[in-house]
Amino acid sequence: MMNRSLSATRFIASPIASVLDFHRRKTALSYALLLPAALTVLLLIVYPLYQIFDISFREGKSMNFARIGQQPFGLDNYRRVLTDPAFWRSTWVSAVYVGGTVFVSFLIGLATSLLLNRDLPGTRLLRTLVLLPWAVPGVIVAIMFLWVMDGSYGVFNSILRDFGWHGGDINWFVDRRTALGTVMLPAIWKTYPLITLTLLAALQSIPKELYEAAEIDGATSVQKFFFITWPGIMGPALLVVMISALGTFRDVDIIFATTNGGPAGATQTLALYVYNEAFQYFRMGTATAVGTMMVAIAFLGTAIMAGMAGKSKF
Amino acid sequence: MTKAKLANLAGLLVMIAFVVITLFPFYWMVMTAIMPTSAILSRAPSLLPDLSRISFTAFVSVFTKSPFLSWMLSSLIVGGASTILSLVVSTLAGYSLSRWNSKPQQALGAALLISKLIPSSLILIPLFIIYSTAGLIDSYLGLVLAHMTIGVPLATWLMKGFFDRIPRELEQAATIDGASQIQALWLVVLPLVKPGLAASTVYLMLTSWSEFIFGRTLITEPTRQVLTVGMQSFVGEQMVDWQLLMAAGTISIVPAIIVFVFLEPFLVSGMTKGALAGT
Amino acid sequence: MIRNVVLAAMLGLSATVMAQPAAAQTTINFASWQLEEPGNSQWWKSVLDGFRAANPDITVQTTYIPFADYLNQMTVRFASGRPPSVIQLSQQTMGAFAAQGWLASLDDRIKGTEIATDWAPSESDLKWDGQERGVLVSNSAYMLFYNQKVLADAGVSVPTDFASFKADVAKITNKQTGIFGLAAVTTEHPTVVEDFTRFLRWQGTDVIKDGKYNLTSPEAIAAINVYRKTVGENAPLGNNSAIARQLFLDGKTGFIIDGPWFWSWLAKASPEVKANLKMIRLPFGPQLAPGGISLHLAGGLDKQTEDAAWKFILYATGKQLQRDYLVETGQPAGRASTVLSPADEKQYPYLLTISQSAADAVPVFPADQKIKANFAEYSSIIMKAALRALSTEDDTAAILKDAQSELEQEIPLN
Repeated sequence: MMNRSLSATRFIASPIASVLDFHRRKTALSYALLLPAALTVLLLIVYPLYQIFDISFREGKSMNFARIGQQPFGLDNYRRVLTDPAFWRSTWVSAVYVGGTVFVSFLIGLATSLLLNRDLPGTRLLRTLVLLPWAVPGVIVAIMFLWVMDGSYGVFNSILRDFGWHGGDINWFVDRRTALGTVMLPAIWKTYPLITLTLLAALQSIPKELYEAAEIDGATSVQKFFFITWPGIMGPALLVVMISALGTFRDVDIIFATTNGGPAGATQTLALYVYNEAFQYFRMGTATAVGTMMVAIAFLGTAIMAGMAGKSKF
Repeated sequence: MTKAKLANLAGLLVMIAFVVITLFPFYWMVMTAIMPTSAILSRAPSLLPDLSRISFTAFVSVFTKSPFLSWMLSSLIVGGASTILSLVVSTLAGYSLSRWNSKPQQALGAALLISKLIPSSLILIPLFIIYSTAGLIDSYLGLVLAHMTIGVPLATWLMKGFFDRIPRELEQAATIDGASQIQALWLVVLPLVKPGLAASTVYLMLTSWSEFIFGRTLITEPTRQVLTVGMQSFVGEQMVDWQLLMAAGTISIVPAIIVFVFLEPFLVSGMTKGALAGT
Repeated sequence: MIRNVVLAAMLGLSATVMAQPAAAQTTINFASWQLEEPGNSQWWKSVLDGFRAANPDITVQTTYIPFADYLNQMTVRFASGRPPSVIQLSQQTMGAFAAQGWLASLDDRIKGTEIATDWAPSESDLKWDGQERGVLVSNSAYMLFYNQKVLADAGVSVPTDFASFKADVAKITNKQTGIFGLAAVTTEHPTVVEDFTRFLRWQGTDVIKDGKYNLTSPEAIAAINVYRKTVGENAPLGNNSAIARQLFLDGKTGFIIDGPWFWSWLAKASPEVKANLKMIRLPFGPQLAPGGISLHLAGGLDKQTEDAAWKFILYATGKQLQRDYLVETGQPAGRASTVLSPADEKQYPYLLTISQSAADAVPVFPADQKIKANFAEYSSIIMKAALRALSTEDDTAAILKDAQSELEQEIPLN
């Protein structure tokens, strides 16, 4: 199709056509550049996405993918999910977990990137150290925090006692008052470095001349932040917040390895709810129904963020 | 002392305090690896290592008791290949998204992010069906592809952000001088987005390095397993070998540190002031 | 059909790419979480080596996945229609796989073999829809482990019945010195479900009575109150099984109730602690087994593969290997307690104790097929109740009432 129109234009030798030709080639180039990325990502996603969507409308409890397509069609899974109090609680837990993790991670990321952007002595070392948590695989992060925050023998409680805490052992991951906050610690620990790195890279690309000019005009540091720094990093900041939020929303590794959703569902996020429905209870139907809704929620969130990003000349 | 110097000193102190607190779990991991488990599992463990009881045997055992080197090699192969491929793919795509914005193109760019929306536990079974149909189970190529799907979306958008800051006039000048658009990208634009390339490389490397669920599902052959998956075998059904696990965890971070140290100069190579002076 | 077209089109590859095994050679795939696990790996290696040497026409491929991830990886493989030919499962998880129709019936194969006659009573627990679905490799029984120094320091003697066990545990706990009466699993972990259930059974009651859920009965409430007190106040909270066992090995607790294989782990304790660690038969009844490990054939194998796979199961459960299993892993064998020779009994007296406990033990969990098929769900409801009992101030009767109504709603018995 494309070939034919391209070769057809080649025979028309008017100046207008050659301009058109130029434009078409440019457009073709724009797609050609994008194609490898689209292929890699979509190839492995389209089929699973189609299956998830399909299965979410199949009734009955089955895990047999070869035969699941023969199950009757219906809305049973959605009905079951929407009337399950555990689903609504998981939605709330997810909102708190994602919101809290990303918010705190962003604050840390912003503060560290601003500090690292100055010419502090030893910046090179500090920069590596600040980014280090990122390099630790999630599985290990979870075990590390379990180890440190253990109620009876964790070093954290021991330090609290050294500082004069007498309120007895706090079982951070087990007590339902502290569990959700505690699972956010390793999540934040793992999330903020990407934000630091992205913001740092964005800060580096703000021309120093802007600050010099502002200084001559007598701007305060707060003014400089809001009029130069913030506009300069806003685009990457929104992007990285969005990506971090999606990652936190979607991943189960840390919660799975620390509390596994407990105590009594206090840390069960939607992603873990999906995991349990599928792999614990073998209810692929409800799992995919929740998965479909998650995609919808995430899509909506992304669209809103992208809208904001668009307004800010992202 | 000037005001700026004082501010820098305060900043440095804040930074050091932050790093000490943040890296404490990591420090404790190393402590667990080198101290006897009974000394760590205590109501009042000593925060500093007791020099007389330190032992580095766990670090040796990691290599003698498990195929740790072959896990690392697998991780390096998969991580290296997926990083290079993803970097090429997402630089091209990011450039395309930055320089053109037709409707279908925007849609395609947004579609890249779809892969980030699906819970990974749901992809596993369909993905396993695709992979075994295509004979990709147990192959590095298969895992490289899977890791690319995780890394490419963000890297693409990250690169787009960096390209957006480079004025088009630069390439236009080059293309008028007779260079093709690709040549202009290669010769003129890429050198200006080095920090972006470095940031993307770090991101892609680490994403692949710490990925677990695909590595677990798509590779079962023990000699081809990646590091995160292999390390799980220290967590048995019945017991965890804490010292070995923590030693392995410590070693697993070393390559990442090397990557940081190596790429760090690029991350900060302050954006070529001259090129942007006009904007 | 559409599915396949989509698949093939997407990858531009068809199913023919898959390697076809040579015709003369039969290939079977064996999946297990124990192939690299210390304590069990040696035995499995001898099974595989021996079987390969004796059957050169059968290629055995192995799939090793650590326990933490084993079940969901097996689920992925069965659900996508690419299961291993022989799969290792535990008695508690076998129900979910059988309910999906993933396990082949073994009635015709077991008939006339020693499995039909010489196996422990727990073998009958592997039936599904009235047909045999697996062969028990190992059996189990809870044993009581204690630290005699910790007991002596607290001035208590080895318990002789449930009441004295309770009392001892309470007396030993001293939070100032960091010594606890009991090491138990007190976090989101399957062992909590076992603990909850066995505290009911040791006090003469059960989750199900006369075909109905029994959690709201006064005796169940009383029994769970004892669980709250004994475990909740005398075991460190928030521990998974790994930390609980480590605590006992480090000499920080008086007791731990655990599977017999834990005996071999006592060797890991430091010499001064190790001398004080002892194992005895549980001094109160009933003797309970949480279920052993079993081998199963995947459903829908072709005849040649299934024959080869069955040959492998028979080989692994042969008499000599069953004896070796007991001796090497300390876990009672699926064959009833006849595997030890008189010389063995002399050399390994503790193995005799273990075998006898296992031979007397009845399964701890309900035999109802509905519960077995939905064991994960059952387990999560009980676990929630148990953790509420351990980590909140909620009234026991209210906790059990909630659990009972959840069970009735999610897994109705009739």
